[in-house]
Amino acid sequence: MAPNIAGSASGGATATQNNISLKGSVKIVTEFFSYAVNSILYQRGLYAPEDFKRTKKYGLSMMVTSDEGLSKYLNTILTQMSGWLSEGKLQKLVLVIASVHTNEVLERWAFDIETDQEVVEGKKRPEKSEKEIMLEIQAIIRQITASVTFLPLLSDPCSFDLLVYTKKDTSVPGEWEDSDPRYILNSESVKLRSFTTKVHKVDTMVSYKLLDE
Amino acid sequence: MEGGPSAGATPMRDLVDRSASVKRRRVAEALLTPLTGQNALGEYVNQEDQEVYINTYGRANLVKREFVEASEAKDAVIEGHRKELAALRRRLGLLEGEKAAAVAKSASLEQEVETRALRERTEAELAGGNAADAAAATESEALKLARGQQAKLRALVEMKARRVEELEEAVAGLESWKRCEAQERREASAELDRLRLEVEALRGNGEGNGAAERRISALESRLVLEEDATAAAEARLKDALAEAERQGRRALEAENAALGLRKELVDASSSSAPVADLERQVRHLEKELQSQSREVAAARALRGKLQSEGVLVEKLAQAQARAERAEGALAEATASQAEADAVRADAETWRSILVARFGEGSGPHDVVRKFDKAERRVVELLEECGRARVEAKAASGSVGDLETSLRSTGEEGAALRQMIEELRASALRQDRKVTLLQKERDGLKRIIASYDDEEVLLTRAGAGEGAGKQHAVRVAELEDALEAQRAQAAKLESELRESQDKAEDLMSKNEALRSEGAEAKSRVGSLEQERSMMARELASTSQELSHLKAEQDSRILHLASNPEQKARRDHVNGLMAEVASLREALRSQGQGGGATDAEVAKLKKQLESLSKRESRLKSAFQDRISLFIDACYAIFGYRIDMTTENKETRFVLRPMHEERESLNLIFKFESNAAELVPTEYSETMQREVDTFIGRYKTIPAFTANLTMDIFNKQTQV
Repeated sequence: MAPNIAGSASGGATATQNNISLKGSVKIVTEFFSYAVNSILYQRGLYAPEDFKRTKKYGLSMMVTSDEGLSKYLNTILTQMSGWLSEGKLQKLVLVIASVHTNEVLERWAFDIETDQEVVEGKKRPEKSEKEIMLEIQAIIRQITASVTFLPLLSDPCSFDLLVYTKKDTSVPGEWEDSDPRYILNSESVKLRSFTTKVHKVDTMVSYKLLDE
Repeated sequence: MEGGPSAGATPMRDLVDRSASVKRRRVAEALLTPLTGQNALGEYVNQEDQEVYINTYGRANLVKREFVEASEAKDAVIEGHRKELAALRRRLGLLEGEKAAAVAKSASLEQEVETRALRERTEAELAGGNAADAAAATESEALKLARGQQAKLRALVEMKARRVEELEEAVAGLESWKRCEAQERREASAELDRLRLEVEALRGNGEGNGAAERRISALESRLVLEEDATAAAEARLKDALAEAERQGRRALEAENAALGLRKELVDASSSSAPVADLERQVRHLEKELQSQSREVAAARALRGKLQSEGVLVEKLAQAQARAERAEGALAEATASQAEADAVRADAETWRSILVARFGEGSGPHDVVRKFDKAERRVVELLEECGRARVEAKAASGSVGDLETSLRSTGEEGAALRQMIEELRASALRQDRKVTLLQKERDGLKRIIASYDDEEVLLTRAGAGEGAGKQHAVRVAELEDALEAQRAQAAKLESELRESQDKAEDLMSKNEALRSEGAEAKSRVGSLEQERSMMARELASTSQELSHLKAEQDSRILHLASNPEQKARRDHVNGLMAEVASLREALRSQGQGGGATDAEVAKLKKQLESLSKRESRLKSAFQDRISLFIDACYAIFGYRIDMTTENKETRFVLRPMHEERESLNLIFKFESNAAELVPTEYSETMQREVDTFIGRYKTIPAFTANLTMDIFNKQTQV
């Protein structure tokens, strides 16, 4: 089920014409993370295809999980991330795929976030059309789908974890704890496209473990 | 403060103006104006500034600073009031003194009036006959008395008027002070309400600050009491004001009465009124005195009330100051508690990170040690990178040198090959020369044979001495020619030998250079591999450094309960269940343990016998193969070795009669067809290769021809 962060499901209700408010940008970015994570989990086969259902978003047919436990986990993370994005504290979201047997990290999807602090402080209000943002997001989703052509096959049973990079002075609720960055030794990196709402800029990159020859 | 006493109003107003609450009101007033620029004070105010102004300071600091400023302003106001109160008290003291003097004077006047009245009565009784004279004398005396009393009354009225004016001033001052005090009380009560709310909020947020809260509650109760006392004081003040108003009205009435008295006195001075009128006036004066004394008593009571109010105000101020101090202490305690909580949370986080990274029982010194180790490792890696770069540079330099030497070697080889070709060509020429010489020799032999035949014929025909001489000359000529030919042949043979020796030297040099070139190529390959390895290490090290830099300014978080942890837990549980089931199976199989051991022994024996059989078969196959190779060598004259490289089968043929083992032929066998691989040895017999293999497509004929050539060479003497 698509996460209900705050506001309407189709998005963009808070942007009037081309004006992008902080709240509107946070909503767009959080929705993107939700659909991107779901897409990666489906494409990489971490969960069975029957655990996903089809939904329309960004002019594409997106797969979103229908597993209640997973939906709850994603909602918890994305709700907290929405708050940190509004404060301008969020720096990066990383999806780590690791082998269950060996605990070795096999893939690492990193979403870097740059925030315009002047907008967070209310000093300016940028302009960008919603359609342009949606097209940029659409391109990234297509790239994620196409990445299966060059990413190595995950033969071992794998699981995932979501890591969040924040500023050091961020207030953290009790259910969160510190983690190490879970880098991959001997990896290859591929940089994907990025999108920007003029308030937040999101860059995407995937790193995968090189196969032993 | 409107209508207040003139002295001290401006400083108080400035103090109040400087307070934060007034400043906020001014900001709000500026916001109401359409312009968002500089206000009257030169401050830039607009909505965003206001938001910044409000949002910039922390709530407790804003409250504290504002309250401190407001309390300082109120302290100044209260100080002003105290000064006013002291001035009023001084004035009241003066008024009392004057009242006492007036009372004394009135008493003395009364006594005088009484004594005069008695005297006049007695004189009137004594001098009863001469009533008219007495009346006239009495009238003149009465007039004098009336004039004197008129003067005194005038003075009294003036004094009363002055006192009334002063009382009015005092009442007006009291009223203004009362208004100010009421306004201040309203502001103070509003501040107290706000503080109370904040205290409640702070109490709700702050934990573990029971002592300060208890103090605050005690102060609040005292505040409540003080407020009650203030309310009572206000009520008393109201009464005092009402009393002052009544006094004012009485003063007005007294003034009117004084005016009436004045009028009467004027009338009394113009007309000849009898003494009874004077007595009436005296009685009226007595009444006035009584009323004045009542006024004095009321003023005393008012003064007492003011004093008590002043005491209450002081108490209220003290209580407020104590409340402010307590609230300040509470705010500080809350802030310090928050800081302590933040520091504790930070310490817990660091402790958890330490335990996660370095295990239980680790401390900050472990972190320092690890950091030092990491720094040393980074320095070592950088040094290694530097050394690798230097080595790579040196290697690239040596690669360049090797390449140049390889190029020069190749050029030398090409030159040598060219020389070899030239020598071959010269050897062919020499061979042709030799064949020509042989032909010439055969020709000469035939000529000699023909000369011999001629000689025989001549001798048969009975030729004389001349024929013998000719024959001898011819023989001498032929011998000379033969000698010359022999010398030329020897010369050619020596040249041929020299060229052959040169060719052999050049061949050996070429082989040496080729081997050097192969070594250089292998060394270049190894250096290239090393360089690529160093480049990979450098890339990984730089990547590690960039990761460390990125992690320095960030905090990495994840949910404690996440899918990876859940999957690992499920996997562990599955493994434990599997272990339990295996243990169960093992336990159930434990009863038949002997049978299992026997099976294992049997299987081991089978394995041993099979391995022995395999080794026997291997040795038998090896024997047969070596026998076959020896037979082929003996029968066909070639030692055949089979090799497989890159899925390609090759046969190496070493001829029996060749002196050196490096001279061999290599055939590639695929798709049931053999193909000659060019070698140095095969290039020496290129003509035969082209003829038998190239033209006639027959390898057996080629090998047979080669065998015969080698045999001929070996057996020729």
